Amino acid sequence: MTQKQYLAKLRKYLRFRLSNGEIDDILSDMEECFDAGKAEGKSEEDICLSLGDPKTAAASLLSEQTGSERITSLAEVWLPFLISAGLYAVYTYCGFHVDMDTQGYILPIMYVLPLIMWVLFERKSFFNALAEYKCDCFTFFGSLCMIAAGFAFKEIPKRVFLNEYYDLPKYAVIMAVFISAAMIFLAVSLWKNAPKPFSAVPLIGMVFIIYNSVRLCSAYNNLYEPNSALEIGISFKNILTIIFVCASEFLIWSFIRRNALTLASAYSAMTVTGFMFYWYYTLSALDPTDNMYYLKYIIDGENYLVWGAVIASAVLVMTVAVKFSKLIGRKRGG
Amino acid sequence: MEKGQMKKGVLELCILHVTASDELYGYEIMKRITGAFPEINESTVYAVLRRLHSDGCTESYTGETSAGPKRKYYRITAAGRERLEKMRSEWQEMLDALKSLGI
Repeated sequence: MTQKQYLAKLRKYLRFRLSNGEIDDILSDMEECFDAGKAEGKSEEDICLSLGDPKTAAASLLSEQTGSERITSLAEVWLPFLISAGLYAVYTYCGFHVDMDTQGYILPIMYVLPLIMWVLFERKSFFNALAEYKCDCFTFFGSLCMIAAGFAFKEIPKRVFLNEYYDLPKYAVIMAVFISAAMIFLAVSLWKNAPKPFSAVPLIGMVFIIYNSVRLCSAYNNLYEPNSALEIGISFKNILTIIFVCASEFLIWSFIRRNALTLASAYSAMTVTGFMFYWYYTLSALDPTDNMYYLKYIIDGENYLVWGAVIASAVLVMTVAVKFSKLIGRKRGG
Repeated sequence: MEKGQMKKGVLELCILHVTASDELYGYEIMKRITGAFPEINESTVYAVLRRLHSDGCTESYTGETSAGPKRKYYRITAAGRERLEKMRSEWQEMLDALKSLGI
């Protein structure tokens, strides 16, 4: 192998896993090794041999990654930005959207956070990030504050348009306080060099899924109330959307990080929710007034075989991915 | 302790020791370490050296060699010396424990 080939391979294995600046720095150090080796009369082939296989070299470098190495270049955000924007366009076109009247503010939060994460934060495995997240109260409170600010933000236009001016200052103050608090919490967590805000995205999603599930259950218990069927439809759609959005963010992230297990899990979640959405819209098109009918069709209906096949294939993909990731882990460790 | 982790610990100790005794450029450090541990690749040594550098245990500067080209030299920092001392005493404790068992 020549110097050029070695460096090209090393760049390939480090690409998307480290920032471009870091990769350039590593390659420049490697070039220095080649120069020094050649000055001692070694051939390029000999130097490659003593450096070791480029794949192993990349694995060693990645395993030695620490929290202090961060992605700082704005130029590196274009790929996730384009993917996110594209996904958002596709979701909107296909009818995947959170009910804007009740929870419209969630989408910006869920789309902006991963972008911030991609620009600013180190790339670690999702499971590490989640484990560290538990210890990271700053990001947690920051996220809660952003959600609270979202609630207040939703109330302000209502008060303006309904001319309920007496409430407006109250909500404006609430919003300002929570946004400031969120910024402070997130800034502190950045400064502490500990948080992985990406994990805040599924957390926010989880909060909304729980909220919508409660709404769904309470509406189910009041079937004879005039608005309960509508309530059920909205809550159900919101749950699906949030799962889908979270899963798609994991999908992009795990693709970039080459994390097979997370990729498969995200893919499985997207497949299942995608099917549910499809049936929801197909059936609601048949009878848009009867939310109960299509919900019952999805949950209690005669689709056990189809659901079984969908879930079985998702489990199969996940199992293969687990085996695959263990195999990779063993190779790296060995 | 896993074998890999143990090796990393030893490598860390050796790199810190080498940079504490001399100011060397990357290739020289790698060569010295792999001279003592021939089964280890130079890139593995480089990865540990890079991590120690990002942890603030070493600092680098660009210097010229007698042969001519500019090289990135590494030297140990105060934090690195502290870590080196700590690691030395830990390894000494381990050796003493092994000796006491007659190994």
